[in-house]
Amino acid sequence: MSIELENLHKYYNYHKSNENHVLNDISLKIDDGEFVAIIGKTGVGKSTLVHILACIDTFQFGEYKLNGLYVKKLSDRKKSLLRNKYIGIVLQEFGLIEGYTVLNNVMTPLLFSTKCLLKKKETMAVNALKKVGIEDLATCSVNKISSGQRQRTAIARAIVNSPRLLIADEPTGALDIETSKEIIQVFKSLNISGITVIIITHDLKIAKLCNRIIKISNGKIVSDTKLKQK
Amino acid sequence: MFITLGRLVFKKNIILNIIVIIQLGIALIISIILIGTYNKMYQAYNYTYNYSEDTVFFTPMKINGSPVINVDFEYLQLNNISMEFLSKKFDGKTADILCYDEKTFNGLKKQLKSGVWASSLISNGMIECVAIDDIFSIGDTFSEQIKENVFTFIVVGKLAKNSLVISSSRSSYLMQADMLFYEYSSIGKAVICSNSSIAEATGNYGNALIFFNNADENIKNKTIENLRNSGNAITMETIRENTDNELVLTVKGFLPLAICFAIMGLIAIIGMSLLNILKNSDVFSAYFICGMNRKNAFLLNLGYMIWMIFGIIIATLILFILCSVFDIINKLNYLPGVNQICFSVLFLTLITLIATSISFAFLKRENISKS
Repeated sequence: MSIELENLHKYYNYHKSNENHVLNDISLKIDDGEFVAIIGKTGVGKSTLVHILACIDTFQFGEYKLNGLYVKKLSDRKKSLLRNKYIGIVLQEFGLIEGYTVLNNVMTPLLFSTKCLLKKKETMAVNALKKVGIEDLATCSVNKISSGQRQRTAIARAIVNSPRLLIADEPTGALDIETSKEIIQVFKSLNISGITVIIITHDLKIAKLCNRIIKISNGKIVSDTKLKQK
Repeated sequence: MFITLGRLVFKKNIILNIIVIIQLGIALIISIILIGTYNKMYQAYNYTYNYSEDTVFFTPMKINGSPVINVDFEYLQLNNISMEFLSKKFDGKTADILCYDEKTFNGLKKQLKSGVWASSLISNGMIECVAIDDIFSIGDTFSEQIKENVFTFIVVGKLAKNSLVISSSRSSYLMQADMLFYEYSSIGKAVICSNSSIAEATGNYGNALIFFNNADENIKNKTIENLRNSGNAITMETIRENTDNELVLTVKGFLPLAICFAIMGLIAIIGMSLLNILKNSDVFSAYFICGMNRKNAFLLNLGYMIWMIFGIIIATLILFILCSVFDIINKLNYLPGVNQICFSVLFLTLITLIATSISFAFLKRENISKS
């Protein structure tokens, strides 16, 4: 799934006394199947960019083309459909529903899309869990599993509908080094299977595991480096 | 599906939800009682305005040979037909059959369970009447000898149980006019609202009303004068003024309580909104990033709301049962009417709808993405 941003501007509290120009003239192109890291210090607008890319947040100026579609012109329903079917989102704090089981969390996207029997949905969720290697935790409550397992659950949820774009906002931020590497390997294998993966991180070591690094500073892209395939 | 999702949201914070449910349940019970009390007074108040003292004819009717229970003897003249009226026991049940003159029929045309209001007092030699008890069916006829004459009655309509039935029977709490008479009876006052020959019946009535339309003005005036002089009479105008004042005082009396419950309701609304936003933000954000759109979010809120309302109704029923067990309702001398309960449930639904709408309005993308 290709992404194209053209002169994108995002303001918080636009036209107010406390206006904050978070993204300033962002232009970038990410091709289908790329494995990209977006890096930058805290507060430079990385997460805002993720939310825009994931069709969660809006922007004031510029264009965002997702596979040729002008996102700005899409209705709420169509953006929801994109998030549901084509975009998988993984958050730093996992974004899981506490108290639900791993399986129920992974099945969440299927509630809003697939009109099929519960059994089929369960099978789809278990398949996603297998891809991240935690199928044996399906019946556990997410409160009772480790951070790494929670992140894997979040990834399984993001891929349960077989999306073509996976966006991860600081996916290793809450994890130790070893677990972080494991999680990045999961992303890598998903990328190899054809999914476009975008990882937002402040950790250069993590970013270097990707194929391309885009650096953001003060709401602007300051560098865009393609790395050698590892 | 959204009912199920609503249940999951409900279950997720069940303790807080139960607290809100109990809070709203109590507010509901009290609002039912407040509305009922006000309604009761308002009906009495309306009564004094709606029915002219010269046109109201009503009474329970006596049927000969029946065991007479707990009802005062009444003597009435309807279009020059004099009759005795009392309650009668049929199969162990007490039945009051009410007959009205045409003007009264026009004034009372409401809350009829079935049938029609009598179009004329006497039709084909039979007296049309509207029954309030289920032991009569429409079309039932019965003849009774009253004094020297035999009269035939036909039931043409049935009143709903919670109708504003005007009667001088003091046994029924549903009859709002009773309350009025009873109150004045308790202070030893007679109610004068007729231009009839009251003198004939005052001995039988105590304070209850008698209405005649072919009054002998001399007798009436003499009786009124006598009653006034003895300090035992009160005119309809005075009743109206008194009721008016009482209503104002009651409303004033309710004011602190009303403010209190308004605050309670407000807290409940804010509580429910915060509950939705704070405690369920992880659920909503998870659903949102997984493809929930605004319509889905609204339906999910609706599902949650249905569970809340269901819980509140259950809580209210339990509270009502507790009130009955501890005889609280009787102590308040109040029995809720169906209309009051319906109104309160609608009010509750509105509160819940506002609460969920508020939370829905707060459910902005920015909040979700930050949560």
